[in-house]
Parts: sequence; structure tokens; C-alpha cells
Amino acid sequence: MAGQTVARREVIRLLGIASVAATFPGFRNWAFADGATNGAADGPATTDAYRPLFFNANHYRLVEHLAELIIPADDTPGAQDAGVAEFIDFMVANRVPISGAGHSEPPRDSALKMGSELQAQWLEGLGWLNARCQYDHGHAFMDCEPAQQLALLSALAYKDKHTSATEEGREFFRLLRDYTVTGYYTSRVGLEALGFQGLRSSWPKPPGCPHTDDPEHLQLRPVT
Amino acid sequence: MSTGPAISKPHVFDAIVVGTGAGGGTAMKMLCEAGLKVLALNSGPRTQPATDYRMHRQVYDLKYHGFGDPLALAGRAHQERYSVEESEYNEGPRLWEHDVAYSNGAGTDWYWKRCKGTGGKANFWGRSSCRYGDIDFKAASRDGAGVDWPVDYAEIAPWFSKAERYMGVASTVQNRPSNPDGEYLPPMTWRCYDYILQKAAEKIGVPYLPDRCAQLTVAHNGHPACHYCGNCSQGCDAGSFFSPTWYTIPDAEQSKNLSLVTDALVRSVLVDEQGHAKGVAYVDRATHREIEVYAKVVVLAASCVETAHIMLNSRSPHWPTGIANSSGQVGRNLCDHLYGSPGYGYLPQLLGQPSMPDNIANSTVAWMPRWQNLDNPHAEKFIRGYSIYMGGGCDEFPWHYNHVEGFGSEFKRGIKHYYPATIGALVQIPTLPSPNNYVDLDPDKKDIYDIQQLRFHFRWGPNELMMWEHSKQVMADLFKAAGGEMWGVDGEPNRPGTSLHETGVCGMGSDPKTSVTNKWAQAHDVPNLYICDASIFPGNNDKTTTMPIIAFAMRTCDHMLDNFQRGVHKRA
Repeated sequence: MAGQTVARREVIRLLGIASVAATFPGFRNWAFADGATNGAADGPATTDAYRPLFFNANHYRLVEHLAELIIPADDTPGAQDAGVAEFIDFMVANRVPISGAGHSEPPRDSALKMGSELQAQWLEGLGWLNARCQYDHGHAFMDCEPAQQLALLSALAYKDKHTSATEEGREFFRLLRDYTVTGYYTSRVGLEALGFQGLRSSWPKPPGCPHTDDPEHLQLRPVT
Repeated sequence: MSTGPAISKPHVFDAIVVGTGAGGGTAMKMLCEAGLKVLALNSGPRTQPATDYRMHRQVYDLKYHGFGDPLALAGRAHQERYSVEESEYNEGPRLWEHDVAYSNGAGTDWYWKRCKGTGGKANFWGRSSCRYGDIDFKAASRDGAGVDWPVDYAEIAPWFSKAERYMGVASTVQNRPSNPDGEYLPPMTWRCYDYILQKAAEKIGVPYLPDRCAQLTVAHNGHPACHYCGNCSQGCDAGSFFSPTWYTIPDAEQSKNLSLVTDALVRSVLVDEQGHAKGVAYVDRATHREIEVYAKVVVLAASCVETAHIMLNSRSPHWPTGIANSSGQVGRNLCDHLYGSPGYGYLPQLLGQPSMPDNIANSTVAWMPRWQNLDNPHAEKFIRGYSIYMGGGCDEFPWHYNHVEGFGSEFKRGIKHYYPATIGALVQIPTLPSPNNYVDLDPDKKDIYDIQQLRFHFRWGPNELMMWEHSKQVMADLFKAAGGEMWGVDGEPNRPGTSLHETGVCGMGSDPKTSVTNKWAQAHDVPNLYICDASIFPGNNDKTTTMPIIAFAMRTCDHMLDNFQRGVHKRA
């Protein structure tokens, strides 16, 4: 596979500096999202205030871009508004395993060991993505045309677009999507976008089903 | 740390209660309120709702968004996090037992989840609270497996009422002999999918009913009505469902008859020259010093298998294999609930509907109580029966995203589209007592306090695995009848221990040769030793354990108080 060597070398280089201390930098977007400072509602996020703990600057920009492609701002805020790249960087740096990402169960023994493996998967995955683009288009992912980027992600994301050449990238795409979805829907803006009603913490009683005259709910039609 | 009278010189209490959870807390309350001087020993620290509970925090308030600090348990003897109950809202070795290790025998994968804070796991329980019936107590007579309980429904029913009145249980009268009705608060409100599933269940001949839920739909006994924040499994900030922290412990303390010692890990029961209980020895966690305390009566309520652990470790010339173990039955017949999801998916009727607060009660709103083998105990390939809880709808995290393909706006819309429509089943399958399922002392391992470790031997048996297969077929039928789509089923059951419903190991019975206690939960061999937890249950069924633990503890204490009255036990 083209780029395999590049990815491996990068992994080795970065693993050396990857053992960051477990510091809590105070995320710009989501940690104090409901406070007076730095609320996500204050405006679109920029990358210059957050200093990545794990990814180098190029990788961090790539992660941020990929997360936004997976959960874009549309009628509701997107991954960047929710600080997803910061979330990913922080969790990967601190080797916090995320259920569903690369494994199905929480770790039994060493969370750190599993987290270390995930660090390697991230670096290999990003390396693969760039190497694939280099091979196909002569540029790293970020320098490819938007249509080329979407075509590659589609080949990773949709079963009917899978090709044998993208097999290796599919597992990484799952990892990337798991982290992105997890970061987004554990942020306040993500939960608001979803309509999670538990953001309100006191109710007189659960409102319950509003359609009790139609218990089988046959009259409801999917909202398209 | 201790409250109440200082214990500086040898002092004899009327009773020592080991454990302050569902059973021990109830015993403390009952005995203290009757005027006995009680010393309660709790293995861990005092549970403090203000700092140990979720207290309306959201997942984004947590440093690791709920996934927990990977270093929280670094260096501890038992590093496995206890899923569901132990979360980033209260993770770590303060409330949870991560210092005392345990062993699994070959082929066993028991997941022993232990809360050592006062009140124990009953601070974080699921609140389903059904009465057991004669179909459970006399199951052995019906189908020939195991032994009958030494009590029947008529005998225990008044204590079920007493427990329900104290706790407050929300449900409806359902007239099902297999699930005797109790005294109920108004039921929980049903969600859209409850109505759809009830109609579907009707079509396939299966009941779908409000569960019995110990959650206050109205204010009760001085406890406020639930405010539906949904934090229940991470602790209630208001005491709107039964937990020792909000109920039994304050009651016992109000009597002024309680001395509570925390961080006291009980090692063994001490005996006098007759082999009767005279007190217990505990290790003070802070100093690792062993301390002896004395009482006229000892009540063990350390949480089922830990009670057996203490008894097996209480060896003396009188009791070479452990106190009150002349039958050899201490540790035997460990039972559990097999948990797993026999089906999950979605209801197309609800796709794209507005988000609803479906899970703000965080409870088992509805369930499908056992319907198998009711008239004919051998109607199915398996004996006994199981129940299924249904959940779903708009939850705290859209776990269903895995079933939505792709990325981008379409993907994001897809997640929201399915959000109100998801449903999932949780099956609750009782295991049959088996000679292969038991606990003993690990001959080779001691924990950091120099106490011999408990070792589990447990495997699912054929009867429970047949029920597991059966439940998957039923869910397929239910989904079809509801017009639903199934995404999948759990490949295999959850690990043993996951349900927290371990029972057995000190079974009650009429025959001292085959049981550990009599029908009052009083040890056959040692008349001043009582047990107030689920270890006395001689069998398991499709229903949960907490409310029955409380009812049986109340009955045991009433009997014990009679014995004090009648002079069988002397006051200190």
C-alpha cells in the first residue's frame, strides 16, 4: 500500500512525543459552553486559541476539517462549533478509550493500553488518508479539491462505493466518525441540535405520549 | 471515622449490623427504632449526595465527557470500572471497591460490582419492585428443580406491604397471579412506543404492562415527588426514590440509637465458647489495624456473596469450615440474572417525530412480565420463566448512529430522524441453582488487608440459555407485530454479575442439613446470627431483588425483636 512506509515512520516519530501529561486546557468551545466566556454561540471557532496536545498542526487542521465534513454546520451548528477537534485531540492525547471506537466494550484492565493503541490508529489513519490522496491526486488530503475529498470519504463511508483500494481506510473512517459523533453529541450544542430534552433538569411530570387516541400510531407519518 | 458513642473500651451493643445497603440499612432502622443500641459497620466511607452524585451535571460538564479518567484506578488492586453504576460522575476508589481483589475460577467471568459507600448499590439501583408470588416460592414443587422456599406468599405478603408503604412504589393493579398486586402510587406515564408495543404484544399474546417502580410519582412519607431530572442511576439529589442514604440511614440516626463506623471492612464473625456470635472483627481501612467489636446479636447484610465471604472466613474450632456452615451450604447455589438484549431496532411510525423527554424518569416504565409456563410448568422447553424490560426513545446519546450510513448533513439528519424511534429490549432471565455455581475462598490469594480472597465459580446453564434463545424469537415476533425493524441482538449474554442480582449462597430452609438459615433468616447453627440480604434466597425468579430484600429484612427484624422480647436474646 502506498504511504504505508510514510505512515509507519510518522507513527514512530510521534509516539515518542505522545505521552502528554493529563492536563485540562479548558476547551474553548465546550468545556464552559454555558458560561459567559467563549460560548460556542459567540461565533465561529478559530483554531489559533487551542494548542493541540497530541496532533501536530497539520494533523490538527486535518482532523478539524474531517470532523466538519462528517458533521457540518447546516440548519444546526456543526463539529467545529461544538469543538469536536479539541475533544478528539484531548481524548487521544490522554489515551481515553471511547466505547464503540475500534472496540465494542469498555476496557477491562488497562484503559491506558487501549488508549495507546488508539493513538497509533489515529496517526496511521491520517497518514493513510494523505498517502492515498498523494497517490491518487498528487496532493495531501487538505490540498485536494473538495470533490476529490468527498469522493474519497464516500468510498470509505458508503458500502456501495467501497473499492479494494480503500479497504484499509475504512476502519480508520469508522474511528474518525465514532470520535466525531461522540464529541459532537456530548457537547451542549450537539445535544441542543439533537433536541435532547434532558438538558432541562426539572419537570412536573413526564408529558408522555400525546397520541393516546391512536395507540398504534398509525396516523403519524414520517416527517421527511 | 465514627459517629455516636465512642468505642474506646470493650462495649457490648445489642446488635451489630454489617452493611448499610438495602438489607442492612433496613435492619439498622428497624432495630434502632425499636430501641436497641446498634453498631453499624460500613466497608467504605459515608456517601455524600452533594459530591458523590450527579447533581444535574451534564455530560459536557465532565472532563472526559463521561468516558472517565483513564488514571482514576491506576495502581489499584482491582482496576475494572463498574459499568453503568460507576460513571465519571462518581468514579474511583472512594465509593467503589477497587482495593479488595477477587478471583474467578477456571472458565468463570464473574463481574463483581461493589459499592462500598454507605447505602451501597441501593443508592444507584434500577427501582423495579415486584412482589414474588407462590409461582416463585413453590417453583420446585411445580417443576421439580431446586427446593421450595420455607415461606409462601400468604406468610410474606404483609411484609411486602410494609416495604411498599415505606418505600413508595408506582404501578397499577394488574390481576396476574404470577405477579401479585401490591399497594401502589400512581404509575409512570407511558411514552409513544409503550402504546405501540402494548398493541403489538397483545397480538402475539404477551403482556405489556406498567412495571412496579419504586420511584415517587407523588410525594410520599415526607419524601418529595420525583422531579424527573433523569439522574437516578447516578444518585438522586432529592431522595425521590428509596435509597438507604435518604431513607433508612437518616431514620436510624434520628433514633439516637445508632453508632455508625465507616471504612470498616469486616473480616470475620467472632464466637464465644458455645460457638455463638459475640461480635465481629474488622479492618480499619485507614490504619489497616484489626479491631474487635461486640454485641448480643450479629446481623450480616454485606451484599449476598460478601456475606458468604465473611462467613467462610469466620473459622474457629467450633466452625472449622466457616461459621454456621455445618451444612456445607455456605457459598453454594449462587444464582444470577442473565442480562442481554434479545432485540433492538426502531419503530418506523415514530421516525422524524419531534424529540420527546422519553427518559427523564430513567426507570423501567414498562415491562413484559413472565408469561411462560404459568399454567403448565413444562409448557416450554425450559422451566420457570423470564421477563423483558423495554426501553428506547430520545436518550442522552444517539447510540443508534452506528446504524446510519455515511457522513455530512444527510448523516446528521439521519441521526435525528431515527432519534425518537429507537427501541431496545433487556431480558431478565433467572438461573437455576446448580452445584457448579458457587463461591469459595481462594486458597492462594489474599487481598491487601491480608484477607483471603473470594473466588467465583459460575457458568450459564442450559435452562437459562434456552430462555435466552426463546427471548430472541419473541422479540423478532414482537418487532414484526409492531411493524418495527430490528437492527440486531446481543451476540452473547452480558457477563455474569452484570445485573447486580446475585442471590443464594446462604439459602434459607427448614432442614439444617441442607440450608444455612431457618425461615426467619436466623442461622440454624448460630441462633444469634441473622442475615438480611439476598444470600438467603433459595432460588431466583424473573423479578428483581431489592424490594424483597427489604421485605425479608423487615420480617427478620420483627422476628428478632420478638426474640428480644421473649428473652431468647438478652439486651446488652
